[in-house]
Amino acid sequence: MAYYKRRNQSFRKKNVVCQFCVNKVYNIDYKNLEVLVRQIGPDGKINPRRRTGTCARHQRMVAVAIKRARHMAMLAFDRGTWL
Amino acid sequence: MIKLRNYEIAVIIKSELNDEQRSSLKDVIQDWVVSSGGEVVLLDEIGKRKLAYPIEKQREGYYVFWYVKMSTAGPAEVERQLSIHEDILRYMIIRSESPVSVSSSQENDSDTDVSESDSPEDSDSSDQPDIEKIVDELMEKEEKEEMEGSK
Repeated sequence: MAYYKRRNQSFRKKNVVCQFCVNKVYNIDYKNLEVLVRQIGPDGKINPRRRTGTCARHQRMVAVAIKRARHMAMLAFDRGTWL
Repeated sequence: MIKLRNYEIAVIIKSELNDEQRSSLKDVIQDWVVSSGGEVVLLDEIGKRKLAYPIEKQREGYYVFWYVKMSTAGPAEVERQLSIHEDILRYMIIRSESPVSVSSSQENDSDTDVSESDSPEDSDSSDQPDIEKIVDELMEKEEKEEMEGSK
């Protein structure tokens, strides 16, 4: 019982509603690291939508912004060693 | 009629350069933009910053951003020039919807905060007046009904 409960929780969405839609964000800047850092995991990978609850449109914008930040050496490609 | 578009040019300059060399390099880059039929709207600098990973064995870089209006043939020319120069570690030219000033970008930063602690507070603050209005209306209705009932 407990096992199933924990397993279900790990796949549960944290935010049911897209936080970018709630705050009415229309474009995500790659220099805005405060926002982008929240969208990557400890290993530097982009968090999936099922974890963050971001809508498809904003997830696309987040992905582009993170990739641009990686190119400009603001975010790491792996291990999440951003500074 | 040449169509002008807004672009954003991001450049990482080697941090080893002294101030004179750096400023001269910035002038050179601006000249490339102007000579390819563009104009600089805004210059933004973050300054020296640690790189997330070493580039050309450098661990630090100097970040400079230009917001530029150029014709559609401009970016290719500027990009070619940027790729040749040795003191430039990285460069990127992207289209931006509108020239963003520094102050407005900071405002956007505050808007785009999606921390879990902040967002409920925002929603509460936006909901509170509505709830109060609704409660007031309900109270008034109830009072009217009571008055009518008593009559």
